[in-house]
Amino acid sequence: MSIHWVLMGDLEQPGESDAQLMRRVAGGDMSALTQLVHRHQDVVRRLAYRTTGRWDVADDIAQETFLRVYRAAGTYHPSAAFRTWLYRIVVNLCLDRARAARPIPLTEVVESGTSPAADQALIQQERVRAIQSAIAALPERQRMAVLLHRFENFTHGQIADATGWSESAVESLLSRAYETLRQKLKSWVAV
Amino acid sequence: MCPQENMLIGLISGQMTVQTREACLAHLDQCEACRQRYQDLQATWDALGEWTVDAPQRDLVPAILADLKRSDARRWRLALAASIALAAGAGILAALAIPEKRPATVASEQAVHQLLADSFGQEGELLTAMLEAIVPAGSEDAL
Repeated sequence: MSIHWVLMGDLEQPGESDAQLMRRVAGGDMSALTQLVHRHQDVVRRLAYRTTGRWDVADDIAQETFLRVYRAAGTYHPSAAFRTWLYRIVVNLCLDRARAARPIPLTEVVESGTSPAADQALIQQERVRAIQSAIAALPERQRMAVLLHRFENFTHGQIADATGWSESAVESLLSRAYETLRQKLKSWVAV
Repeated sequence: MCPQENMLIGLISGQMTVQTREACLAHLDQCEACRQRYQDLQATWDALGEWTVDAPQRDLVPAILADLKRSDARRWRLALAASIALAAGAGILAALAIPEKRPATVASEQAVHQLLADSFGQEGELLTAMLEAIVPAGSEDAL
């Protein structure tokens, strides 16, 4: 696939579906690729960040994701939902990176103050850190299932499509993951 | 019958049909143990939602387009270099077939290697290897 470095801004149609944009990308239309990146880059970066805990790594993953989207545009079939197809690429890249290095995501430390509001902020920050640590400590498949389910609102079926795991496997992973999280976060959670 | 963990997860995440949801809620009304499980799970679900992520503003498009340009240029360079290597290989083979031209052929072979290394850097080494595969060292003696 050769690249046609043609500015086609005037031909952009904001209402186009992802599948329509992919057809244009397959024809070498870089403005269509630009639209796809702008449409999806934030969710891709967020998922990659939640998985790896680092924005620089998340940006690398997101960039590689869209490069793969471009290279695979010629073989993309609209029968597969673009979002699911895109997430499959992201999930694979995230799992590869997470296997190589698995940093625990950390929030920035806020200086403790003397006011009740500052104390409250500190407690809240510790809660979030406990949540991040509990998620980061999950086995990688459970972690990915929870990230997709809780933060990306994926159904079991969508998670199965995005990961290549069976739906029953996804159900099992989620059950175990939520049970582990419930146990670990018990002291932080007010019922 | 008490709902499995996945049913409760489905109830909390809203990923459940209306009928199943109603049946599940009706059970919770009557089962204290399940109601407790449901409340624990709901509290965990809500707590997880406190982990919000504000992505630092960044547009990936310039980096992606630059990367694609680089890889496109590299592909063209490789194709051009491969063509030169093939042409040079064919030329040397043809020259080797003429006995009186052999000394000049050796010199031209070295010149081609140098040209490839100078012009294509690391890729030049690959092309030199390709060239040597076409015209093995010492092949002029065999002719």
